[in-house]
Amino acid sequence: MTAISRKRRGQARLIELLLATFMMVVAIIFVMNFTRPIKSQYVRETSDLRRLAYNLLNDFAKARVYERIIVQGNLTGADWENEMKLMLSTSLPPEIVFKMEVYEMKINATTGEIYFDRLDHGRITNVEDFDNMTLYDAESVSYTYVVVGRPDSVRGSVLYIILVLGFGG
Amino acid sequence: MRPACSYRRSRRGQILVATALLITIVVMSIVVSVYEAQLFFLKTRSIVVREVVGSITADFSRATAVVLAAATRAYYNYSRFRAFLSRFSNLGLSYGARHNFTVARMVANAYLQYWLAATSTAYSSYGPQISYQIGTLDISKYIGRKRSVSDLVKGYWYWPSSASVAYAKLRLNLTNAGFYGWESDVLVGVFLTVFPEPVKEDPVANTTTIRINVRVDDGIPYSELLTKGWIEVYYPEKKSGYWTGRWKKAKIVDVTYEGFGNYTVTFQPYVEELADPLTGKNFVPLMVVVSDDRGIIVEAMTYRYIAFKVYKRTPQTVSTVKPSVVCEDQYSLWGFNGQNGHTVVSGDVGVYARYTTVASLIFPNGSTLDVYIPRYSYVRVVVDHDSSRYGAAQIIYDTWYNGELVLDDVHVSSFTVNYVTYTNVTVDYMQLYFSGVTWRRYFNIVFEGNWVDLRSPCTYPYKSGQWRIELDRVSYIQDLDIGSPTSVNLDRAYATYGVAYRYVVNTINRPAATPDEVYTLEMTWNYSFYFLGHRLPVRRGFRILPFPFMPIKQLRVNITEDGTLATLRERPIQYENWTVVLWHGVPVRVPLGLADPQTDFYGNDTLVFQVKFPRLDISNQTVIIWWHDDLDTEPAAYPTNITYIEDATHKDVWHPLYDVEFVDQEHTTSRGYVDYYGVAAFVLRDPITDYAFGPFNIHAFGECGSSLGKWRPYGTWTIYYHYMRYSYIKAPIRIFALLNTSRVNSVYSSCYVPGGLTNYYDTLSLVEIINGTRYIPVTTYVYWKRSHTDVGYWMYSAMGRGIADWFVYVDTNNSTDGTPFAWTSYPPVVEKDNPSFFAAYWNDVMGRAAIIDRASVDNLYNTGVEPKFEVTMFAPGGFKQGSIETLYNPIDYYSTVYRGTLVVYNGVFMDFRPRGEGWLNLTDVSDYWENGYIYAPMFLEDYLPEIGPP
Repeated sequence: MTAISRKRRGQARLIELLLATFMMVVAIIFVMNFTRPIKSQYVRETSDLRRLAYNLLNDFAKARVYERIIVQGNLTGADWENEMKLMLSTSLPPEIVFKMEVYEMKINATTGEIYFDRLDHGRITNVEDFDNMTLYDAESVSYTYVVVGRPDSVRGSVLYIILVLGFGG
Repeated sequence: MRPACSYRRSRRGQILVATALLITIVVMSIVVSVYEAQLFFLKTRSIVVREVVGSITADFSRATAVVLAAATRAYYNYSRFRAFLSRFSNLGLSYGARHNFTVARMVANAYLQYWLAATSTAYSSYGPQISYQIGTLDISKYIGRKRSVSDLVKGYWYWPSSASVAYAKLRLNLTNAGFYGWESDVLVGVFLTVFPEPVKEDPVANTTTIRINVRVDDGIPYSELLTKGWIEVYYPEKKSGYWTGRWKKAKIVDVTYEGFGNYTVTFQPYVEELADPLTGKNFVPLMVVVSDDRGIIVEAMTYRYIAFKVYKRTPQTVSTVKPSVVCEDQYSLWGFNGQNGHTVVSGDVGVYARYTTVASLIFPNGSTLDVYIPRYSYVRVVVDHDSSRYGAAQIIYDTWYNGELVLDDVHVSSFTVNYVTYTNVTVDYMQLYFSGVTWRRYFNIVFEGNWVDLRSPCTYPYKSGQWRIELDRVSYIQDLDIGSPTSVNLDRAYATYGVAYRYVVNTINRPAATPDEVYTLEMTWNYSFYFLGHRLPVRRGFRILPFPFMPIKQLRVNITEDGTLATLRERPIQYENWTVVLWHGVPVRVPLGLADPQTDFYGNDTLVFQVKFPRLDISNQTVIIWWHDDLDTEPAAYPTNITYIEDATHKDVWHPLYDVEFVDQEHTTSRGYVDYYGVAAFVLRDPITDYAFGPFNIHAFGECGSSLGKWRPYGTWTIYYHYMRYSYIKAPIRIFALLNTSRVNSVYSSCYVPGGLTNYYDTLSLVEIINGTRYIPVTTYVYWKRSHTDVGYWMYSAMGRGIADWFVYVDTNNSTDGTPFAWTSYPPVVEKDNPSFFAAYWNDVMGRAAIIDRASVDNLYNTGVEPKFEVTMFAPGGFKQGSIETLYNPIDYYSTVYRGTLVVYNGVFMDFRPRGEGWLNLTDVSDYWENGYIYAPMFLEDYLPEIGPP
C-alpha cells in the first residue's frame, strides 16, 4: 500500500512538470505571435509610404494645388493630369512610383446617396502601366478635399483623391 | 517515521512553491509581452492615424469655411456671388433668404452632413465615426466687445470692429485603427477692424488713407489680403455738398501691409472727415468689405449710429378771432381808407351808352382789343375783381349826377356789347356815359385788411386791427380807387347794407402738459423726413449721415423723452415701404405696405418712429438711429395697443380710444348699424361698448332725392398690419388702410347701382390708425373722369349719430364766425361760409375735431364754387345726426364738377376731451372745442417740426 502511494506521487510530480512545461510553451508561442511581426520590414516601410502620401496631399491642400491644377484644369480644359503628374514627380523621391485618381464626390439630393464622378483618365502616374506592374511595397491612401479657394463656381465641391505610392519591383 | 515524513513533506512544499513561482513568472511574461505587442501595434499604425486625423480635421475646417463663405456672401450680396451661392440653392439658400442667417445656418448644417457622409465614405477603410458638435465660443478677445459664437455660423458686422465666424467641435473615431475619442475645436473666421480716423487725407491729390487690421481663424494675422483676398471701400456719394444716400466704390490706389494683419489703404476720392456728434471723435464715413481667400466676407463701418434732433415749432399759444361789429347801416353813403389787405369787387351792371365810346380790353394771353361801343348800344359788365389776384383798379359808377361808368384795370368775368360777349378779360380802360340802367345795377365791395380809417357813416378811434368791411348792393360809387393790390380808398359809395367788422383776438394758452403732441415721423433712406405727407424742413447746412447699406431689420431708434440725453431710450420703430406713383399725372406718395425687414434699407424703404413733446417747455428731442451688429438680429417687435381684427363681422382696427371699423365691398354692414352697400368709409366705435358713432365718409357728391351725398367711393380697403415673413410681428406704430378704386356708388338703396358706376371719379385714400396718438390721418385724392352737375359736393362728412351736442368751425379769417352753436332741430342743415382748417363737434365728455392742412384749404377753394361748413341735424328716418361736413359746393344750388378736376385733402380726425392732463380744464361746454384746437397747429404746414443737428 505504501509503495503504490509513492509511485503515484511520482506520477503526479511528472504530470505537474508536464503541465507547467506545456503552459510555458503555450505562453511563449502566444506572446511570440504578438511580439514578432512576421514582416516587420514591411510594416515599417508601408507606414512610411502612407505618411508620405498624406503629408504630400496635405501640403498640396495648403498650397491650394487642387484649385490651381485640378479645378482650373477641369474648367479650362487644360492638360491638368500632366501638370499633376509633374507636381507629384517633383515632390516624391525618384524611386517611388505613384498613381493618383481624382473624383468629385456628389450626393443625390433625393436619395442622399453618395456617388463618385471621376475626373481623371488614369494618366496621373509616373510609370507606363501601373496597374500591371509588380510592386515590392505599395500603399494606397484616400483623401478628401473641400474646394475652398477660387473660383466661386466650384467652391464647396468635394474632391476624393486616391494616391498609391510604392516601390517598383 | 516521523523525521522521514517531515522531510518528504518539506520537499513536496518546495516543489509546489517552485511551480507556483514558475507559473507566476510565465503569466507575468505573457502580460508584459501582450502589452509590448499592443504598444508595437499602436506604434506602427499611429503614424498613419495621425495623418488621417489631420486630413479629416483640415477638411472639416475647409468645409466650415465654405459654409461660412456661403452665409456671408449671401448676406452681403447674393446677386454678385450667385455663381457660388446657387450651388447651395438645393439646400435652401435662395435669393429670398439672403439676409436670413437662420436659413444660412440650416444650409450650413445640411452641407456639413453631406460632408460627413462623403468623408465617411472616403475613409471607410479606417472605420471612421465622424460627427461635430455645435458649442459656444467666446470671441470677445477678437473684436473687443462681448460677443460669442454659439450656433455654428455667426456674423457681427457694420461696426468698426467686425467678424464673420464659424465654430464647431469635431469628434472622430477610427475604429479599424483602434483610435477613439479624438476631439478638435475648429474655428474659422475673418476679423476686420477699421480705424475710423483716417491716417491721412489729401484733398489736392483727392485721396484718403485709412488703416485696417485683418485676422483670420484663431486671431492669426492675415497677410494675404493683397495676393489671395480682396478689399473694397465704399464712400457716401455727395452732390452739391449733400449726401445722396447712395454708396460708391472707392478706387483703391495703394495697399501696404505693415505686419501683424495691419494694412494702410489709400483710395480715391478724398472723403471729408467728420466729428461724431456725441463723442466728438473724428471719423470718415466709410464701409469696408474684406474677403479672405476662402471666400469669407466681413463688412465694417466707421460709425455706429446717426444722430439728429427734432425741433418743435408749434406755438405756445393759439388764437381765433371773433368778429365785432364796429359799424352797421342801411341805405347810407360809405367812405373809408384801407391798407394791408385786399379788395374784392363783384357786380353785374347793364347800361345803355349815351355816347359812342371805346373800351380797351386785355385778354389773359396779353393781347388787347379796342371794342367800339356805338351810341345807344347795350353794355353789360360782370365785374369779378380781386386785388390780390388782379392788382390795382379804379371804378366810378355815377348813377346820381352824370350817368358815368369808368372801369380802369378792372377784371371782369364777362363784358358784353350788343350781345357780343368777351369772357375773363381785364378792362384796361373804359369811360362810358349812360342814359339808363337796367335791372342789373349793383356792385358788392368787400375789403379785408389790418388797417382801416373809417370815415362814413361812422368813425372808429382805432385804425389797426383785423378788419372786414362788406358793402352789399352798392348802387353809386363816386370813386373806388384800389391804389395798389393791398390798399383802397373809397369815396362815397351808396350801399343798401353795409357792415364793418373789427376782429377781436381770442388767445388760448396751451397747457403745460402736452402728452398728445406726438409726431409720427417717416424717414426715407435718402434723408427725407415726412409728417402726414409733408416733407419736414431741415436746418440749413445740417447734413444727416448716410445710412449704411444693410438689412432693415438691423435698424433701431433711440429717442429722448424730456429733451435730455438722460431719457435717451430705445423706442418703437416700424419699417415701411412707400413709393411715388403717377396717379392721373400727379405724383402721389403711397405706401406699398410694411417693408420686408430682410431687404436692404434702400429705395422705397422708410423708417417710422414717434417723437413726443409731452411738455410745452420741451423744444427738441434727440433721435439716434443705430444698428445691431448681429446678423441674426430679428426685426424689432414692440408691444402695441393697436390690433387688426378681421372675421365675419369685423374689419376693425382696435385702438384704445376708438375701434375703427372699415366698411367696404368686403364688409358692407357696420355691426348693428347701417348697410353701406359696399361704399368705402370707416366707422368709429366705442372701444368698450362697441357702439357705432357713425361713419367718416371720405368723399361724396350730389343728392339722392332729399338724401345728401349720393355718390361715394365704392371699393375695398386693403389693410397693412404685419411684416412680410414675420407675420407674428404686428405693426408697432401704425396700421394702414388703403383704398384705390375707380367706382362710386350710393349708400341709399333707391340710388344704389349693382357694381357701382365708373363714370364719376377715381379715389385713392389712405387712413392710418396710429398707436399712442389721438389722431387718425386721412389723405384722399379724387380725380374726376367725367363732368357732372348736382347739388352738394363734400370733401368729407363725419357723421355723429346724435352723439355730439355742439359744433364749431374756423373760417378763413381764423374766426369762429357765429359758432360754436348747440344742436338744434331747425334749420335741419346749418351752413356756414368760408370754412378753413378746423371743425369740431362734441358733447360734455368727449369730442372729435377734423383738421385739414393749408394745402387742403387751398384746394377746397380752388375746386369749390362756394365752400361751406355744414352740420346736418338729422339722419334719414328723422334720427338725431349732428355731423360735421366740409363742402366744395353748397347744397343750395346745382353746380358742376368738371372732368379732369383733381381734389386732394390731407388731414386728421382727432379725439379730444374737456379736461384732464394735456387739456385745458374747461368748464363751459361751449368752449370744449378749444382742447382740439390747441393741438391743431401740429397738423399745419406752418408748424411742421424741423430736423437739425444734435
